[in-house]
Amino acid sequence: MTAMAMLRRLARHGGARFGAVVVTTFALVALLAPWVAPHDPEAIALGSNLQGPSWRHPFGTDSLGRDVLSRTIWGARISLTIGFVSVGLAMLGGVPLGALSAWAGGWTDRLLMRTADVLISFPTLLLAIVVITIFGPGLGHAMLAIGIAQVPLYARLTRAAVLRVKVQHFVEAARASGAGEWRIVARHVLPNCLPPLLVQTTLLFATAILSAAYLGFLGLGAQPPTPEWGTMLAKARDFLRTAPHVSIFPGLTILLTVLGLNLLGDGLRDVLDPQTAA
Amino acid sequence: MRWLVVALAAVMVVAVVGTAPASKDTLVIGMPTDVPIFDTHKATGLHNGSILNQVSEPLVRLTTEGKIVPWLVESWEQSKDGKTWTLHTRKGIKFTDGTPFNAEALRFNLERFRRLSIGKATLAMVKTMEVAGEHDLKITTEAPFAPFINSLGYHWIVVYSPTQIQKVGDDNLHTAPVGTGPFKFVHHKRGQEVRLEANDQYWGGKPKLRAIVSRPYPDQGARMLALESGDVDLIFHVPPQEAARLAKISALAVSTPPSARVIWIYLNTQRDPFKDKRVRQAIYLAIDREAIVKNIFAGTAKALHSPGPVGSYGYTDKYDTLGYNPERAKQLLKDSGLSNVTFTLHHSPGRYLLSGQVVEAIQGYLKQVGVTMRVTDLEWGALSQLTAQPVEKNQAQAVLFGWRSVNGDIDSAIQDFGSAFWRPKGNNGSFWKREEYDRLLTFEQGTLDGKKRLEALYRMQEILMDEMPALWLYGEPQIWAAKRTLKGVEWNPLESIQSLHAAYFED
Amino acid sequence: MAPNPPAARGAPAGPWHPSISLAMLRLIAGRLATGIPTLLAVSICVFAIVRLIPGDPARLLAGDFATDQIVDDLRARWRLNDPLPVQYAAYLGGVLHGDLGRSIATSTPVLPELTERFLRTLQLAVAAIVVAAAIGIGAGLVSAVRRATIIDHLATALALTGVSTPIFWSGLILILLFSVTLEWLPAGGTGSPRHLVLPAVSLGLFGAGVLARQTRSGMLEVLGQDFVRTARAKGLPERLVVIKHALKNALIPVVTVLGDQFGRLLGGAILTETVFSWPGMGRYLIDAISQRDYPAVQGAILVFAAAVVLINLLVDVSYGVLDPRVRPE
Repeated sequence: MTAMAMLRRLARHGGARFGAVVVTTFALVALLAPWVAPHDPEAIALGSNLQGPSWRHPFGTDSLGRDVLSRTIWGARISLTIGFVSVGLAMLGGVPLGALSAWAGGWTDRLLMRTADVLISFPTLLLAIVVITIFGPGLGHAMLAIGIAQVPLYARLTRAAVLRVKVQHFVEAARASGAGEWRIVARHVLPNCLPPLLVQTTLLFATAILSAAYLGFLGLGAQPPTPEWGTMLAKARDFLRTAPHVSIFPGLTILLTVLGLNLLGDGLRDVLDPQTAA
Repeated sequence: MRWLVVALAAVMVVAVVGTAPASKDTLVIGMPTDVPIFDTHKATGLHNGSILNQVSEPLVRLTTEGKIVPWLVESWEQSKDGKTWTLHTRKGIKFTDGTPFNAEALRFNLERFRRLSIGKATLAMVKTMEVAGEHDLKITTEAPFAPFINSLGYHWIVVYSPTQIQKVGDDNLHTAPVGTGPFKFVHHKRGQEVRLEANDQYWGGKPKLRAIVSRPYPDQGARMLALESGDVDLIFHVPPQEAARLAKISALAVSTPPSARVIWIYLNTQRDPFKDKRVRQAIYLAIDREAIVKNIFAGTAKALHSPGPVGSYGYTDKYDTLGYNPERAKQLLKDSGLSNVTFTLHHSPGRYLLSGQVVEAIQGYLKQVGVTMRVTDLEWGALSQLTAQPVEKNQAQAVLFGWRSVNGDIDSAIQDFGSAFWRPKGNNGSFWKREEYDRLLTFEQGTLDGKKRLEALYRMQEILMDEMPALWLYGEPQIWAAKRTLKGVEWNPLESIQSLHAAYFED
Repeated sequence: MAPNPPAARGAPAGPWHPSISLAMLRLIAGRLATGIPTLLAVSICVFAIVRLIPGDPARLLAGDFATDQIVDDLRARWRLNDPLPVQYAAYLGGVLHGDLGRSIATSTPVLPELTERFLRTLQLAVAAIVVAAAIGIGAGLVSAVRRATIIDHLATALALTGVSTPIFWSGLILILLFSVTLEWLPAGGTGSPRHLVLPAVSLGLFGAGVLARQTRSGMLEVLGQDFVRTARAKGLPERLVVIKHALKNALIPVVTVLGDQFGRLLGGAILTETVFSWPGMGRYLIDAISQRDYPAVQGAILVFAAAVVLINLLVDVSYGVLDPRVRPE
């Protein structure tokens, strides 16, 4: 299927359309944060703290008088970074391992996949907490932790994709023409594995953002005053009664972003990879 | 499918109907934290005293004004050379296991305190202890120490039954502690509740309440909802913003008893960037303490204009010439020649009311004048360890610390800035020193001339307000709320309940 | 947490009934046996955690107030001066004897308290699974049967929302609605069945979403199959067709998903317990981390990981019993 045909099918898919709109908005807001945010996200103004939504502060202010909308916008930037770094790390570790596993076969394959299966069965949060326990809390460590937790998923995905491609004709042809093993993998096999990886990347991007929010909420991820969405909600708890808006808006934003990514991912799966469609 | 819906509906009905309310002779308390271990000699947290105090009792009690009230120890004499104290224990007191409380039991417990407690340094000056009679204990100190009896009033010095300790083992006292208090230990289900029942043989008379239950609600929102819904009868650490709202509810009463605690930030004057007085003053100028008091504490705290608690003897606000002035702060920083000042603040979350928010606010204020403050959160034990290091090894640059005055006199707050009190000997976490100050301190602690003493205290405050070895922030409020029908709760200024012996629910 | 686990399989074809044979039992035993190396691997990893943290392991395990004597005792007890294999043997020996060390915060052994906390978390997880199953399967069923109607779209949208909502946020919103505004249910703590409702719903929402999607797709597949058409042609009432024939088959992959979710629920419980002050294992772990109570952290992670392994094992075995396609020939 050509890229153009894929895009056309995607555009017709209702869920994917909605998801794409949400994701694009999220990415744009994140990239343009310094220009889009109406106030400095870290500027405190104790005199106007815990105010409800108003023209000046559409999302209200938090306990130190900071503008919640601006903090949410900058939070999008942080979440975008978290997504890219975590997923990037996971791919860096997982793709080569998966490809190796599929290509080598035998004991290596069995051992690697058994390990991956076991690791996948653990909740991401638990694995991330283990990494944080060793390295200490903080946004950087959180991204590392989430990336590590997602490596086995990518390994398994890559392996499945490589196995499928491995037996196809053009690989045989390449081998017959005398190309070296590495060349075959790099030039012919891996590029054809992209579709399923793309689907999962979108979904795992969502998981990464959620996991970072969870760690932030527990105090193990981004530390204040960093405006990470989860960290913002940890403090908001204390004011649930007097200022619920501080809890509602950042949480709603996480929900929308993750929803958009999930819809997009589902759409991609329906279009690109019908074999594993829900 | 239909049965599923019916089942769900049934579950919802059962869930909503709920439990019956506790009877009116049981007091249910909502605590900010769980009691980690029901053994006062091993206790560390601030709030636990409220519950622990009902089972085990102290030797003497201290009032807000600093007066000593005899308790388990009823009288004492100091020897002529000042080094030996003879304590007389109150007669006729029994532990709830029937064994008698006497001088031997007292000695046993003091030894246990000195062995196990984190506050053991309070009795570091004790050399020997000797039982001199059924109810008499002779304690000898290394050197004459005038406020010795005050030290005995330290809140973690309490008495448990030695027989019980021997019976269950020193390590397991917390499973079945036995004391002399108005209530007996029933059980401690960790994370869930502590239950006590009335000790009808209490030497002070039968308590009116029949049982006390304490439940941990670390989430302050949940804690307040529990009070409002009637699940608990009393809560403390009420967030100041909520105090006004709760006070309007007719079934509840909100109290703000005087608190002797003040919150400072010690600045290590032996390390950069705080060696320069101008930098210290600049930091002070950058923080708007009135705004903090007004907005974070909803006006229930009091901004400090002097190191001591507002209202203590000798307190004066006339030397606070700096106030809040970010422009001047920036100027002073420029004058000092340092740019991009960065430092780390050590802080123990959960220990002091709303300190996390205060720290974040300070971070914001300092950013406005170009200073970067990083925050390291440490659990209290680790923080104490870190800050107790002597000057050569002490890594801390700034530490948020609460101090209390026990005797209502500003001396007890500012005496620690004498150079003799550099950590670990005393509490001078600033490692600050000034000869004139030391001379004034010695003078005012020794003189009997009231007028001259007051002058000395004033001069000392003037020096401290200029030198800023610490940032004087605010006096902490103590806020608790309970059902209006609850009466007779005795408080002490350390944010804990002294005794529930006289507490009861009015009809 | 991926909203659709990659391992989800479609519904099997043909009518289904479980049966147990000797070959079946051998399969079960085989599956159980693979659990042991996994648990060993888990114990090695947990053992490694404390030794990877910068600092002297003896000091980390003893706490800041420990005297040098206590630290030395600990060093001797856990063989911290010996080579790693010896250390591991000492650690494993302790674990097998039920000795997980002493908590620094409470000076009491870790295991007894952990057991109690674990049961509390289990209570929460089971309640959440019940909620997830009830709402999820119900919604998925209705969705499939009323395919392409408003109800279907609504249910699908809700399922997707359930899967995208941060667990702690749904908890906060539920508290806002039912505790603060309506004052129907308590916002935290334990003590009565009422206290379990909001936490269970909050934790079960994600699973409900996954199960709804899985049930719907499974049912759609089954409803289009021959034996269903046959039953319909025979003139059987629709309800009978749906529940008796179709549902049973569609439920098999759902059971796998359910089992899969149970393991993930334990992770989510960490958040729910924090929001609702539920005295379970998750909160114990978080408190221990913030207090740097490393023996407690080590113990909690071990119990958590072991629980996940065992639950997944049980699910694996039960799946083997239920799914005819997995039967040995």
